[in-house]
Amino acid sequence: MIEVRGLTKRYRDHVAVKDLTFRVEPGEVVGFLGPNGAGKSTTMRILAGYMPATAGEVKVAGIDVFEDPMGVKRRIGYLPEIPPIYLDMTVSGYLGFVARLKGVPRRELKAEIHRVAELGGVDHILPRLIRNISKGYRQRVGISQALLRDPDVLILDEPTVGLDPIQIEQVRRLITDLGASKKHTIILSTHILSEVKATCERIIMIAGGDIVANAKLDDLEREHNAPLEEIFTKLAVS
Amino acid sequence: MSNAITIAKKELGIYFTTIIGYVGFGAFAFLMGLVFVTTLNRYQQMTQYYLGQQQPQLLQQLNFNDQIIQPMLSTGYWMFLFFVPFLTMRLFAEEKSARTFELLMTAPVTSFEIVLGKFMGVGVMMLIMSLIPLAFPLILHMYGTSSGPGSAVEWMPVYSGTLVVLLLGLTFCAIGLFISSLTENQIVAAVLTFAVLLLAFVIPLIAGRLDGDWRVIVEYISPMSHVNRGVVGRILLSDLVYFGSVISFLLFLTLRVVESHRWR
Repeated sequence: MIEVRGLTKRYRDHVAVKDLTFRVEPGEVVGFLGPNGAGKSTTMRILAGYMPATAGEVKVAGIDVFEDPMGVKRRIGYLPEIPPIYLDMTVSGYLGFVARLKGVPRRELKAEIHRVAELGGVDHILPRLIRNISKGYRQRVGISQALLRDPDVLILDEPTVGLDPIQIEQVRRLITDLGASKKHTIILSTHILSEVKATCERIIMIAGGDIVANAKLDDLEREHNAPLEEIFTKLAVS
Repeated sequence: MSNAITIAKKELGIYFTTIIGYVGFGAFAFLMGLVFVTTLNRYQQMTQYYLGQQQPQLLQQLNFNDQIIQPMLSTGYWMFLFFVPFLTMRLFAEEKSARTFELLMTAPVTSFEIVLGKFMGVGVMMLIMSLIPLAFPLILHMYGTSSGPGSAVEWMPVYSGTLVVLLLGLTFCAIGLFISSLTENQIVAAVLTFAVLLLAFVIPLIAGRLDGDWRVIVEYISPMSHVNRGVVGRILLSDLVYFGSVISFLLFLTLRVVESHRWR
Protein backbone atom coordinates (compact mmCIF):
# COMPACT_ATOMS: atom_id res chain seq x y z
CA MET A 1 0.00 0.00 0.00
CA ILE A 2 2.91 2.30 0.79
CA GLU A 3 6.12 1.86 -1.15
CA VAL A 4 9.17 3.96 -0.40
CA ARG A 5 12.36 3.54 -2.38
CA GLY A 6 15.61 5.42 -1.90
CA LEU A 7 13.94 8.34 -0.14
CA THR A 8 16.34 11.15 0.70
CA LYS A 9 15.59 14.60 2.05
CA ARG A 10 18.23 17.25 2.38
CA TYR A 11 17.73 20.71 3.94
CA ARG A 12 20.56 22.83 2.60
CA ASP A 13 23.60 21.02 4.11
CA HIS A 14 21.69 18.91 6.65
CA VAL A 15 20.51 15.45 5.62
CA ALA A 16 17.24 14.65 7.44
CA VAL A 17 16.62 11.20 5.94
CA LYS A 18 18.89 9.26 3.66
CA ASP A 19 18.07 6.46 1.29
CA LEU A 20 15.02 5.04 3.10
CA THR A 21 13.42 1.98 1.54
CA PHE A 22 10.43 0.18 3.00
CA ARG A 23 7.00 -1.22 2.20
CA VAL A 24 3.76 -1.28 4.13
CA GLU A 25 1.24 -3.93 3.04
CA PRO A 26 -2.52 -3.21 2.87
CA GLY A 27 -4.22 -3.55 6.25
CA GLU A 28 -0.99 -3.41 8.19
CA VAL A 29 -0.35 -1.24 11.24
CA VAL A 30 3.25 -0.13 11.23
CA GLY A 31 5.05 1.84 13.91
CA PHE A 32 7.65 4.32 12.81
CA LEU A 33 9.97 4.41 15.74
CA GLY A 34 12.95 6.57 16.49
CA PRO A 35 14.43 9.10 18.86
CA ASN A 36 13.57 12.80 18.49
CA GLY A 37 15.12 14.32 15.39
CA ALA A 38 15.55 10.97 13.64
CA GLY A 39 13.62 12.09 10.57
CA LYS A 40 10.22 10.65 11.45
CA SER A 41 8.19 13.81 10.83
CA THR A 42 10.09 14.58 7.64
CA THR A 43 9.25 11.14 6.25
CA MET A 44 5.61 11.51 7.29
CA ARG A 45 5.37 14.91 5.62
CA ILE A 46 6.78 13.57 2.38
CA LEU A 47 4.38 10.61 2.46
CA ALA A 48 1.46 13.03 2.93
CA GLY A 49 2.62 15.19 0.02
CA TYR A 50 3.38 18.26 2.12
CA MET A 51 6.96 18.53 0.95
CA PRO A 52 8.89 16.92 -1.87
CA ALA A 53 11.85 14.59 -1.45
CA THR A 54 15.31 15.46 -2.67
CA ALA A 55 15.58 12.00 -4.22
CA GLY A 56 13.69 8.73 -4.24
CA GLU A 57 10.27 7.38 -5.02
CA VAL A 58 7.12 7.26 -2.89
CA LYS A 59 4.00 5.38 -3.95
CA VAL A 60 0.79 5.35 -1.96
CA ALA A 61 -1.89 2.91 -3.17
CA GLY A 62 0.12 2.51 -6.35
CA ILE A 63 0.09 6.26 -7.07
CA ASP A 64 3.32 8.23 -7.22
CA VAL A 65 3.20 11.12 -4.72
CA PHE A 66 5.32 13.38 -6.91
CA GLU A 67 3.50 12.65 -10.17
CA ASP A 68 -0.09 12.73 -8.93
CA PRO A 69 -0.17 14.40 -5.50
CA MET A 70 -3.92 15.06 -5.76
CA GLY A 71 -4.63 11.37 -6.31
CA VAL A 72 -2.66 10.50 -3.19
CA LYS A 73 -4.14 13.28 -1.07
CA ARG A 74 -7.62 12.03 -1.84
CA ARG A 75 -6.79 8.62 -0.37
CA ILE A 76 -4.94 9.54 2.82
CA GLY A 77 -5.82 10.91 6.22
CA TYR A 78 -2.95 12.82 7.78
CA LEU A 79 -2.42 14.01 11.32
CA PRO A 80 0.65 16.26 11.51
CA GLU A 81 2.82 16.55 14.60
CA ILE A 82 0.94 19.67 15.69
CA PRO A 83 -2.79 19.24 15.06
CA PRO A 84 -3.75 21.62 12.22
CA ILE A 85 -6.75 23.22 13.88
CA TYR A 86 -8.24 26.70 13.68
CA LEU A 87 -8.71 28.07 17.19
CA ASP A 88 -11.45 30.43 16.02
CA MET A 89 -13.72 27.72 14.63
CA THR A 90 -16.13 25.40 16.40
CA VAL A 91 -15.35 21.69 16.37
CA SER A 92 -18.22 20.96 14.00
CA GLY A 93 -17.40 23.98 11.83
CA TYR A 94 -13.82 22.80 11.55
CA LEU A 95 -14.69 19.20 10.75
CA GLY A 96 -17.22 20.45 8.20
CA PHE A 97 -14.61 22.65 6.56
CA VAL A 98 -12.07 19.83 6.24
CA ALA A 99 -14.79 17.45 5.03
CA ARG A 100 -15.77 19.88 2.26
CA LEU A 101 -12.12 20.23 1.23
CA LYS A 102 -11.82 16.46 1.09
CA GLY A 103 -14.86 16.34 -1.16
CA VAL A 104 -17.54 14.95 1.16
CA PRO A 105 -20.87 15.68 -0.58
CA ARG A 106 -23.01 18.32 1.11
CA ARG A 107 -25.88 15.98 1.98
CA GLU A 108 -23.57 13.46 3.68
CA LEU A 109 -21.74 16.19 5.59
CA LYS A 110 -23.66 15.99 8.86
CA ALA A 111 -23.53 12.22 9.11
CA GLU A 112 -19.81 12.17 8.27
CA ILE A 113 -19.00 14.81 10.91
CA HIS A 114 -20.86 12.80 13.53
CA ARG A 115 -19.19 9.56 12.48
CA VAL A 116 -15.62 10.86 12.85
CA ALA A 117 -16.45 12.91 15.96
CA GLU A 118 -17.75 9.75 17.61
CA LEU A 119 -14.64 7.79 16.61
CA GLY A 120 -12.39 10.55 17.95
CA GLY A 121 -14.49 10.94 21.10
CA VAL A 122 -15.36 14.57 20.50
CA ASP A 123 -19.05 14.17 19.59
CA HIS A 124 -20.19 15.83 22.84
CA ILE A 125 -18.18 19.03 22.22
CA LEU A 126 -19.14 19.68 18.59
CA PRO A 127 -20.62 23.18 19.14
CA ARG A 128 -17.66 24.42 21.19
CA LEU A 129 -14.99 26.82 19.99
CA ILE A 130 -11.66 25.00 19.56
CA ARG A 131 -9.94 27.86 21.43
CA ASN A 132 -11.84 26.84 24.55
CA ILE A 133 -11.14 23.10 24.58
CA SER A 134 -8.23 21.32 26.24
CA LYS A 135 -5.06 20.16 24.55
CA GLY A 136 -6.15 16.54 24.65
CA TYR A 137 -9.42 17.37 22.92
CA ARG A 138 -7.60 19.42 20.30
CA GLN A 139 -5.44 16.40 19.54
CA ARG A 140 -8.55 14.27 19.22
CA VAL A 141 -10.17 16.81 16.88
CA GLY A 142 -7.01 16.42 14.79
CA ILE A 143 -7.42 12.65 14.77
CA SER A 144 -11.11 12.95 13.83
CA GLN A 145 -10.11 15.18 10.94
CA ALA A 146 -7.73 12.54 9.62
CA LEU A 147 -10.54 9.97 9.63
CA LEU A 148 -12.84 12.02 7.40
CA ARG A 149 -13.98 10.27 4.26
CA ASP A 150 -12.65 6.96 5.58
CA PRO A 151 -9.22 7.06 3.91
CA ASP A 152 -7.38 3.92 2.79
CA VAL A 153 -4.16 5.11 4.35
CA LEU A 154 -3.75 6.83 7.72
CA ILE A 155 -0.57 8.73 8.47
CA LEU A 156 -0.42 9.68 12.14
CA ASP A 157 2.51 11.70 13.44
CA GLU A 158 2.76 11.16 17.21
CA PRO A 159 -0.98 10.72 17.71
CA THR A 160 -0.96 10.49 21.52
CA VAL A 161 1.20 13.50 22.35
CA GLY A 162 -0.41 15.72 24.95
CA LEU A 163 -3.07 13.26 26.03
CA ASP A 164 -3.69 12.04 29.55
CA PRO A 165 -3.31 8.30 30.32
CA ILE A 166 -7.02 7.58 29.86
CA GLN A 167 -7.12 9.40 26.54
CA ILE A 168 -3.92 7.66 25.42
CA GLU A 169 -5.62 4.36 26.13
CA GLN A 170 -8.67 5.45 24.11
CA VAL A 171 -6.63 6.58 21.13
CA ARG A 172 -4.61 3.36 21.18
CA ARG A 173 -7.81 1.34 21.24
CA LEU A 174 -9.12 3.40 18.33
CA ILE A 175 -5.97 2.67 16.31
CA THR A 176 -6.10 -1.03 17.18
CA ASP A 177 -9.79 -1.19 16.17
CA LEU A 178 -9.11 0.61 12.90
CA GLY A 179 -6.23 -1.79 12.26
CA ALA A 180 -8.28 -4.84 13.14
CA SER A 181 -10.89 -3.94 10.53
CA LYS A 182 -8.13 -4.47 7.91
CA LYS A 183 -9.70 -1.71 5.82
CA HIS A 184 -7.02 0.82 6.63
CA THR A 185 -3.28 0.83 6.29
CA ILE A 186 -1.85 2.74 9.21
CA ILE A 187 1.60 4.17 9.69
CA LEU A 188 2.18 5.97 12.96
CA SER A 189 5.29 7.62 14.27
CA THR A 190 6.27 7.73 17.89
CA HIS A 191 9.19 7.67 20.26
CA ILE A 192 7.13 5.98 22.96
CA LEU A 193 7.90 2.27 23.03
CA SER A 194 4.81 1.13 24.90
CA GLU A 195 2.75 2.73 22.17
CA VAL A 196 4.32 0.56 19.50
CA LYS A 197 3.86 -2.50 21.64
CA ALA A 198 0.20 -1.73 22.19
CA THR A 199 -0.78 -0.92 18.62
CA CYS A 200 1.64 -2.11 15.95
CA GLU A 201 2.32 -5.42 14.27
CA ARG A 202 5.58 -4.33 12.77
CA ILE A 203 8.11 -1.63 13.47
CA ILE A 204 10.44 0.36 11.33
CA MET A 205 13.11 1.91 13.50
CA ILE A 206 15.08 4.85 12.22
CA ALA A 207 17.98 6.71 13.74
CA GLY A 208 20.00 9.52 12.21
CA GLY A 209 17.94 9.35 9.02
CA ASP A 210 18.68 5.64 8.46
CA ILE A 211 16.59 2.49 8.91
CA VAL A 212 18.20 0.43 11.67
CA ALA A 213 15.49 -2.20 12.05
CA ASN A 214 12.46 -3.31 10.06
CA ALA A 215 10.75 -6.40 11.45
CA LYS A 216 7.77 -7.86 13.28
CA LEU A 217 7.91 -6.98 16.96
CA ASP A 218 8.16 -10.60 18.20
CA ASP A 219 10.80 -11.48 15.62
CA LEU A 220 12.89 -8.51 16.61
CA GLU A 221 12.81 -9.37 20.31
CA ARG A 222 13.60 -13.01 19.58
CA GLU A 223 16.44 -12.10 17.25
CA HIS A 224 18.13 -9.79 19.73
CA ASN A 225 17.03 -11.85 22.70
CA ALA A 226 16.18 -8.67 24.58
CA PRO A 227 13.10 -6.52 25.28
CA LEU A 228 12.26 -3.69 22.86
CA GLU A 229 13.55 -1.03 25.27
CA GLU A 230 17.07 -2.41 25.16
CA ILE A 231 17.02 -2.94 21.40
CA PHE A 232 15.87 0.64 20.94
CA THR A 233 18.60 2.08 23.12
CA LYS A 234 21.23 -0.07 21.44
CA LEU A 235 20.16 0.64 17.85
CA ALA A 236 19.30 4.30 18.29
CA VAL A 237 22.70 5.10 19.73
CA SER A 238 24.84 3.02 17.39
CA MET B 1 -14.05 26.38 -7.72
CA SER B 2 -16.14 24.83 -4.95
CA ASN B 3 -12.95 24.41 -2.90
CA ALA B 4 -12.20 28.12 -3.28
CA ILE B 5 -15.72 28.92 -2.05
CA THR B 6 -15.26 26.57 0.91
CA ILE B 7 -12.05 28.43 1.85
CA ALA B 8 -13.67 31.84 1.31
CA LYS B 9 -16.54 30.86 3.63
CA LYS B 10 -14.08 29.72 6.27
CA GLU B 11 -12.27 33.08 6.09
CA LEU B 12 -15.53 35.00 6.42
CA GLY B 13 -16.58 32.77 9.30
CA ILE B 14 -13.37 33.52 11.18
CA TYR B 15 -13.79 37.29 10.64
CA PHE B 16 -17.09 37.04 12.46
CA THR B 17 -16.25 34.56 15.22
CA THR B 18 -13.39 36.88 16.15
CA ILE B 19 -13.96 40.59 16.71
CA ILE B 20 -12.13 41.60 13.52
CA GLY B 21 -15.31 41.83 11.42
CA TYR B 22 -17.36 43.73 13.99
CA VAL B 23 -14.60 46.14 14.98
CA GLY B 24 -13.65 46.74 11.33
CA PHE B 25 -17.15 47.48 10.09
CA GLY B 26 -18.16 49.30 13.24
CA ALA B 27 -15.18 51.64 13.25
CA PHE B 28 -15.44 52.26 9.52
CA ALA B 29 -19.15 53.06 9.66
CA PHE B 30 -18.60 55.33 12.66
CA LEU B 31 -15.79 57.28 10.99
CA MET B 32 -17.75 57.60 7.75
CA GLY B 33 -20.71 58.90 9.75
CA LEU B 34 -18.44 61.47 11.35
CA VAL B 35 -17.21 62.64 7.95
CA PHE B 36 -20.80 62.83 6.74
CA VAL B 37 -21.93 65.00 9.62
CA THR B 38 -18.95 67.29 9.21
CA THR B 39 -19.36 67.81 5.46
CA LEU B 40 -23.11 68.22 5.85
CA ASN B 41 -22.53 70.91 8.44
CA ARG B 42 -20.16 72.77 6.18
CA TYR B 43 -22.65 72.51 3.35
CA GLN B 44 -25.30 74.06 5.53
CA GLN B 45 -23.01 76.90 6.58
CA MET B 46 -22.13 77.67 2.97
CA THR B 47 -25.79 77.70 2.00
CA GLN B 48 -26.54 80.15 4.82
CA TYR B 49 -23.60 82.32 3.82
CA TYR B 50 -24.57 82.52 0.15
CA LEU B 51 -28.18 83.24 1.10
CA GLY B 52 -27.00 86.08 3.31
CA GLN B 53 -24.80 87.40 0.50
CA GLN B 54 -27.75 87.34 -1.87
CA GLN B 55 -25.76 85.44 -4.51
CA PRO B 56 -28.16 83.04 -6.18
CA GLN B 57 -25.67 82.08 -8.92
CA LEU B 58 -23.25 80.68 -6.29
CA LEU B 59 -26.12 78.94 -4.56
CA GLN B 60 -26.94 77.27 -7.86
CA GLN B 61 -23.49 75.73 -7.95
CA LEU B 62 -23.80 74.08 -4.58
CA ASN B 63 -24.84 70.44 -4.81
CA PHE B 64 -24.69 67.33 -2.65
CA ASN B 65 -22.40 65.45 -5.00
CA ASP B 66 -19.54 67.93 -5.05
CA GLN B 67 -19.83 69.09 -1.48
CA ILE B 68 -20.64 65.92 0.42
CA ILE B 69 -20.45 62.66 -1.51
CA GLN B 70 -17.18 63.22 -3.29
CA PRO B 71 -15.24 64.25 -0.16
CA MET B 72 -16.75 61.26 1.63
CA LEU B 73 -15.57 58.78 -0.97
CA SER B 74 -12.09 60.30 -0.94
CA THR B 75 -11.90 60.04 2.85
CA GLY B 76 -13.30 56.52 2.63
CA TYR B 77 -10.44 55.17 0.61
CA TRP B 78 -7.88 56.92 2.81
CA MET B 79 -9.27 54.87 5.67
CA PHE B 80 -8.45 51.66 3.77
CA LEU B 81 -4.84 52.45 4.60
CA PHE B 82 -5.61 51.45 8.17
CA PHE B 83 -8.35 48.87 7.68
CA VAL B 84 -6.84 46.72 4.92
CA PRO B 85 -3.68 45.60 6.82
CA PHE B 86 -5.99 44.76 9.74
CA LEU B 87 -8.05 42.50 7.45
CA THR B 88 -5.28 40.87 5.42
CA MET B 89 -2.49 40.31 7.95
CA ARG B 90 -3.81 36.98 9.17
CA LEU B 91 -4.69 35.41 5.80
CA PHE B 92 -1.51 33.38 5.30
CA ALA B 93 0.66 34.38 8.28
CA GLU B 94 -1.80 32.84 10.74
CA GLU B 95 -2.07 29.61 8.75
CA LYS B 96 1.68 29.25 8.86
CA SER B 97 2.19 30.07 12.53
CA ALA B 98 -0.74 27.83 13.59
CA ARG B 99 0.53 25.05 11.30
CA THR B 100 -2.86 24.81 9.59
CA PHE B 101 -1.03 25.55 6.36
CA GLU B 102 0.01 21.88 6.48
CA LEU B 103 -3.67 20.92 6.40
CA LEU B 104 -4.37 23.02 3.31
CA MET B 105 -1.27 21.74 1.57
CA THR B 106 -2.09 18.07 2.21
CA ALA B 107 -5.79 18.39 1.36
CA PRO B 108 -6.82 17.67 -2.25
CA VAL B 109 -6.89 21.37 -3.08
CA THR B 110 -4.76 23.26 -5.62
CA SER B 111 -2.64 26.27 -4.65
CA PHE B 112 -4.72 28.39 -7.00
CA GLU B 113 -7.90 27.44 -5.14
CA ILE B 114 -6.27 28.36 -1.83
CA VAL B 115 -5.17 31.80 -3.08
CA LEU B 116 -8.46 32.50 -4.85
CA GLY B 117 -10.49 31.38 -1.84
CA LYS B 118 -8.57 33.65 0.51
CA PHE B 119 -8.91 36.59 -1.86
CA MET B 120 -12.64 35.99 -2.26
CA GLY B 121 -13.06 35.86 1.51
CA VAL B 122 -11.37 39.19 2.13
CA GLY B 123 -12.96 40.54 -1.07
CA VAL B 124 -16.45 40.03 0.36
CA MET B 125 -15.38 41.97 3.46
CA MET B 126 -14.18 44.75 1.19
CA LEU B 127 -17.44 44.68 -0.78
CA ILE B 128 -19.48 45.15 2.38
CA MET B 129 -17.14 47.93 3.48
CA SER B 130 -17.49 49.73 0.15
CA LEU B 131 -21.27 49.55 0.37
CA ILE B 132 -21.41 51.18 3.82
CA PRO B 133 -20.86 54.75 2.47
CA LEU B 134 -23.89 54.29 0.17
CA ALA B 135 -26.12 54.78 3.19
CA PHE B 136 -25.30 58.50 3.23
CA PRO B 137 -26.37 59.46 -0.33
CA LEU B 138 -29.51 57.48 0.47
CA ILE B 139 -30.16 59.71 3.49
CA LEU B 140 -29.62 62.79 1.33
CA HIS B 141 -31.95 61.38 -1.29
CA MET B 142 -34.69 60.77 1.24
CA TYR B 143 -34.43 63.96 3.26
CA GLY B 144 -32.61 66.47 1.05
CA THR B 145 -34.32 68.85 -1.32
CA SER B 146 -33.31 69.55 -4.87
CA SER B 147 -33.42 72.96 -6.53
CA GLY B 148 -34.74 71.39 -9.70
CA PRO B 149 -37.10 68.46 -10.24
CA GLY B 150 -36.03 64.89 -9.41
CA SER B 151 -33.60 63.53 -6.80
CA ALA B 152 -31.34 65.78 -4.80
CA VAL B 153 -28.54 63.31 -5.48
CA GLU B 154 -27.06 62.62 -8.84
CA TRP B 155 -26.67 58.86 -8.74
CA MET B 156 -24.25 58.03 -11.56
CA PRO B 157 -21.15 59.55 -9.87
CA VAL B 158 -22.17 57.76 -6.66
CA TYR B 159 -22.21 54.40 -8.44
CA SER B 160 -18.98 54.97 -10.34
CA GLY B 161 -17.31 56.32 -7.20
CA THR B 162 -18.36 53.28 -5.18
CA LEU B 163 -17.11 50.99 -7.95
CA VAL B 164 -13.62 52.52 -8.10
CA VAL B 165 -13.36 52.65 -4.32
CA LEU B 166 -14.23 48.94 -4.28
CA LEU B 167 -11.64 48.21 -6.99
CA LEU B 168 -9.02 50.18 -5.09
CA GLY B 169 -9.90 48.29 -1.90
CA LEU B 170 -9.57 44.95 -3.70
CA THR B 171 -6.19 46.01 -5.07
CA PHE B 172 -5.08 46.87 -1.54
CA CYS B 173 -6.38 43.49 -0.32
CA ALA B 174 -4.34 41.73 -3.02
CA ILE B 175 -1.25 43.61 -1.82
CA GLY B 176 -1.98 42.58 1.78
CA LEU B 177 -2.64 38.97 0.77
CA PHE B 178 0.68 38.79 -1.06
CA ILE B 179 2.62 40.26 1.85
CA SER B 180 0.88 37.93 4.31
CA SER B 181 2.04 34.95 2.22
CA LEU B 182 5.66 36.02 2.73
CA THR B 183 5.78 35.80 6.52
CA GLU B 184 4.69 33.79 9.54
CA ASN B 185 4.31 36.88 11.67
CA GLN B 186 1.03 38.78 11.52
CA ILE B 187 2.48 42.00 12.92
CA VAL B 188 5.21 42.02 10.29
CA ALA B 189 2.58 41.42 7.61
CA ALA B 190 0.43 44.29 8.88
CA VAL B 191 3.28 46.80 9.17
CA LEU B 192 4.71 45.93 5.75
CA THR B 193 1.29 46.16 4.13
CA PHE B 194 0.72 49.54 5.75
CA ALA B 195 4.09 50.76 4.45
CA VAL B 196 3.39 49.62 0.89
CA LEU B 197 -0.10 51.14 0.89
CA LEU B 198 1.30 54.38 2.22
CA LEU B 199 3.70 54.36 -0.71
CA ALA B 200 0.72 54.09 -3.06
CA PHE B 201 -0.68 57.26 -1.52
CA VAL B 202 2.64 59.06 -1.75
CA ILE B 203 3.39 58.30 -5.40
CA PRO B 204 1.07 61.06 -6.74
CA LEU B 205 3.01 63.60 -4.67
CA ILE B 206 6.19 62.45 -6.36
CA ALA B 207 4.49 62.63 -9.76
CA GLY B 208 3.64 66.26 -9.08
CA ARG B 209 7.34 67.13 -8.93
CA LEU B 210 8.19 65.42 -12.21
CA ASP B 211 7.88 66.65 -15.80
CA GLY B 212 7.11 65.17 -19.18
CA ASP B 213 6.99 61.45 -19.83
CA TRP B 214 8.06 60.45 -16.34
CA ARG B 215 5.15 62.29 -14.88
CA VAL B 216 2.72 60.40 -17.14
CA ILE B 217 4.31 57.05 -16.26
CA VAL B 218 4.40 57.60 -12.50
CA GLU B 219 0.85 58.90 -12.56
CA TYR B 220 -0.28 55.81 -14.41
CA ILE B 221 1.41 53.52 -11.89
CA SER B 222 -0.28 55.19 -8.94
CA PRO B 223 -3.70 53.71 -8.16
CA MET B 224 -4.82 57.09 -6.88
CA SER B 225 -4.99 58.83 -10.25
CA HIS B 226 -7.28 56.03 -11.45
CA VAL B 227 -9.53 56.43 -8.45
CA ASN B 228 -9.80 60.19 -8.53
CA ARG B 229 -11.43 60.13 -11.96
CA GLY B 230 -14.00 57.58 -10.81
CA VAL B 231 -14.90 59.53 -7.71
CA VAL B 232 -15.97 62.52 -9.79
CA GLY B 233 -17.99 60.24 -12.05
CA ARG B 234 -15.65 59.40 -14.89
CA ILE B 235 -14.45 55.84 -15.26
CA LEU B 236 -12.34 55.01 -18.27
CA LEU B 237 -11.87 51.52 -19.62
CA SER B 238 -8.15 51.96 -18.97
CA ASP B 239 -8.87 52.38 -15.24
CA LEU B 240 -10.75 49.08 -15.14
CA VAL B 241 -7.96 47.39 -17.07
CA TYR B 242 -5.42 48.88 -14.66
CA PHE B 243 -7.13 47.52 -11.53
CA GLY B 244 -7.86 44.16 -13.16
CA SER B 245 -4.27 43.63 -14.22
CA VAL B 246 -2.72 44.81 -10.94
CA ILE B 247 -4.97 42.46 -8.94
CA SER B 248 -4.26 39.53 -11.28
CA PHE B 249 -0.54 40.15 -11.10
CA LEU B 250 -0.53 40.26 -7.28
CA LEU B 251 -2.60 37.07 -7.07
CA PHE B 252 -0.17 35.44 -9.47
CA LEU B 253 2.77 36.44 -7.24
CA THR B 254 0.96 35.07 -4.18
CA LEU B 255 0.32 31.83 -6.06
CA ARG B 256 4.03 31.51 -6.82
CA VAL B 257 4.89 31.99 -3.13
CA VAL B 258 2.37 29.33 -2.06
CA GLU B 259 3.57 26.98 -4.81
CA SER B 260 7.17 27.44 -3.68
CA HIS B 261 6.29 25.63 -0.44
CA ARG B 262 5.58 22.54 -2.50
CA TRP B 263 9.09 22.27 -3.87
CA ARG B 264 11.18 23.73 -1.08
